[in-house]
Amino acid sequence: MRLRRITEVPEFGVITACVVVFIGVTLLKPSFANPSNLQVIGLDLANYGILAIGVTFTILTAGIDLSPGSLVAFTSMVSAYANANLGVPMLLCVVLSIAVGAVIGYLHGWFITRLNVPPFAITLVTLTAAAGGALALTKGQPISGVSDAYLTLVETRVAGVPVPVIVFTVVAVGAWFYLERTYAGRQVYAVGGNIEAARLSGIPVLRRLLFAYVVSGACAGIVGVLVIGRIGVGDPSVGSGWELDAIAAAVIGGVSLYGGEGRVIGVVAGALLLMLINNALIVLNVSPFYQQVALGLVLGVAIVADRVRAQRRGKPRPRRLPRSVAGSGSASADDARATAATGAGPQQG
Amino acid sequence: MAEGPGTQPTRHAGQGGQTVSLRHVAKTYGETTVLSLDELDLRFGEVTGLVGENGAGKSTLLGILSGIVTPDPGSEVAIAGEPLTTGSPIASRTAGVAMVSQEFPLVSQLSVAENLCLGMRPDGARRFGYDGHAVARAAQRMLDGVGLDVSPTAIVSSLSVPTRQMLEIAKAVGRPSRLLVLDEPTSALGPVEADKVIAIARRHAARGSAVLFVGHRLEEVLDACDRIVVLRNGRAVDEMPIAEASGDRLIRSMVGRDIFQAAAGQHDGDADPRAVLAVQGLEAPGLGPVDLAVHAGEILGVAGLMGAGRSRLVHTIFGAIPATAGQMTLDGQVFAPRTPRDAVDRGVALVPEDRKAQSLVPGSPVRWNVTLPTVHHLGRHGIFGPATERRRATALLDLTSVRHSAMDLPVRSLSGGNQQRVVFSRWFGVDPRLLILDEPTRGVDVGAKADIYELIVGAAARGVAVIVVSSELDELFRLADRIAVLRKGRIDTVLNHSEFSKEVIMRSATGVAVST
Repeated sequence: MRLRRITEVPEFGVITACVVVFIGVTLLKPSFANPSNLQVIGLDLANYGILAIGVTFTILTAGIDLSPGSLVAFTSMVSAYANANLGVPMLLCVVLSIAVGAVIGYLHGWFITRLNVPPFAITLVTLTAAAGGALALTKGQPISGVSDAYLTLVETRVAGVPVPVIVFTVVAVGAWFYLERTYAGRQVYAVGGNIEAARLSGIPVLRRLLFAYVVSGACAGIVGVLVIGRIGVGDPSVGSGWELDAIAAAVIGGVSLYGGEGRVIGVVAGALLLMLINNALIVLNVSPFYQQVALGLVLGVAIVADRVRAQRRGKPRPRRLPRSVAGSGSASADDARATAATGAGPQQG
Repeated sequence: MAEGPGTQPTRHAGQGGQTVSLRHVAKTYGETTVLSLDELDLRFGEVTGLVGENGAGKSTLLGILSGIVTPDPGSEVAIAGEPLTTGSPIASRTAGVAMVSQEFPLVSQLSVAENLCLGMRPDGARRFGYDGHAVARAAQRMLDGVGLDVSPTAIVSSLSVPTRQMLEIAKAVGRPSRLLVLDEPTSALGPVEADKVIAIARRHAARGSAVLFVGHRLEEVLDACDRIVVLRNGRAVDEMPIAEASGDRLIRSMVGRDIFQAAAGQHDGDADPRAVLAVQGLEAPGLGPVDLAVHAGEILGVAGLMGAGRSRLVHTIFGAIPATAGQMTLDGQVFAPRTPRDAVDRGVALVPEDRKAQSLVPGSPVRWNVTLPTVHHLGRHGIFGPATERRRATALLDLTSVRHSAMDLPVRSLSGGNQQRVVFSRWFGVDPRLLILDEPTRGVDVGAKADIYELIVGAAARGVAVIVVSSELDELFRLADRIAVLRKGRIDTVLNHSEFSKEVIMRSATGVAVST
């Protein structure tokens, strides 16, 4: 009975998969569990995991953010440029990087909430433009000569744990706390689950939506700092395609692309699983070409498993059915027609 | 207009040819029979009117004709003697049933011509590929056919709603059909266009088709039709040639003889003379000006036809639609909500009519749904733990006696009645001064209805001012102290409890003069 309750936890599958992969690979290749290798996994996890958590906010509101990968490149270039070329102190550059990410996220949110631009479209703009902006800043040249503090930040270990992993933990715990312990977090779920119901319950839906994109942008800014420390220079081509890994991690972790469902613990597990598999394939000497295939397969399994679970719960996701034709069922459509006639629907505002 | 059966354009085989005939057509959902017709004939060359209250079975009948509702076994529909395979939209269309209704809307991104010719190949069009010229020619013919002056290349989304409605009519009328069904074709139209539609219907019948005209506005039905059929509780209770029809007779037939007996003294308590909500000159697009007042402990019913602005009125009071003019006061203080949030903060609650689309977050657990408008009061500084939340959810669910074990289930897995109780619990949680209910028992089974009524009466007894919008007059009679009747966005009549009468309400809602 108790076991059954544990298996009912939606994230059970991903977490189990993490454990199985870890134990399995360690048995095949004990060096996989070496502290040095674990630290490498941890550093990768920090980058992808932070992006995944940011993206999760937007997916929970039934939106999407395609820009994080490009924003990592852009914010890291801005940060490195300010530090190396303008002599701005590293700490300020960290703040700058996060702020730039947050501001761009705010702009996403502004276009989505004020002009009703689809999130996919507006963040696609940034996906392209920010990657270009990163390149344009130095005509494609990497920025060397950044402060050693970046490297120190990434290479410092606290009780053997790299600082980026600690940063990731802080972000994850903060996100968990916000989403599961505060009223505003709960309202984020409601906005994603049914935006009209949320609005008619008195929830400030636009504010919640906008905030989600700010979080996602800020997370990209954090990763922008970490990658400089990782490679030692400001690299304009870094981060390309990372947004898809981040989205994949969220989906593998049980975040519903329809919005309103998913938890931080799942996202962390999803990101961890991806990183474990990536690293395992390297440790096991599998051709790098197969890494993409493996990622795709894991994603496929996760999506199918989610559907199976949803159906086992008896009720599939609501689909639009033809409206009821039983006698009294047509008042709402008719009112809606008349409302449309006057140009002001209850869905505005 | 004279009958012209000889001009019927389409082939028909066998005898009994000149009608669309329905025999023993019935539809039951579970225990409830929503339609049961022994015999109904729609003659070619005639416009037949169909009227009835909400829930009389009109939509079901239209659904059966168009194939989206499968009637009970034994139901027979034949067009010109050929039996129609029921329950298949394609079979209906092939047999020549054309329908103007919201079921088959326009594709708003396409042009007028593309919409008009959607799903058909115009005469003389090239065999392969898309023949834009033929489409444009055919479209222009269809537009001319209804006298609609709009460019065939215009994109539908750029057109006004009345024009779109005319376009839908053009689309249906322009295709070969033996039965043209017009479901409330004038609901979005002004008087001039409405007359046009009537003329189109008459012309179409004169060419030999059967036309079924479903309408709410009785004058239009009287104008358009050769014969009128009245549905009540799923049965054809009256059928008359136009010469014998009158607004009075139609209303009497629609309402039936069961004039409501006021339950004496039930609601005649002394209401607080000071209004909780007072509305003056309230206006919004398609609404108003509206004046009304609701007192503490009073239940104000709002009646009206579909599209009369009932939902718009309550959404405007709730701040979900911005008001363009007028003042409101709540407990004597200025009340001007710009968003639902403002309204909720002042103690106004709205239970919207479409539970799935407007009330519930279907995939979220019951405990999330029940605390939705009050989460920010959970815990200190808006931070709460699971225990706090469960305590609160338990207390809220107790208000409407929903079992606690449902708390962690997704709310969509509950029955309609229990879902509605969750919604009531949610709003009782804000301790409302004014409770607005839009169709509170829609999609709720009969047993649970009584419970919902009890909750509503209970709230009023606690001193909450209540507004109930309902299409079911019986429901309003049972609950309301007063009933306001809306017509075309304005309050037409307000009835006190002793004056309640279905006849008066139907007259007021349909705009039929008292004497004929």
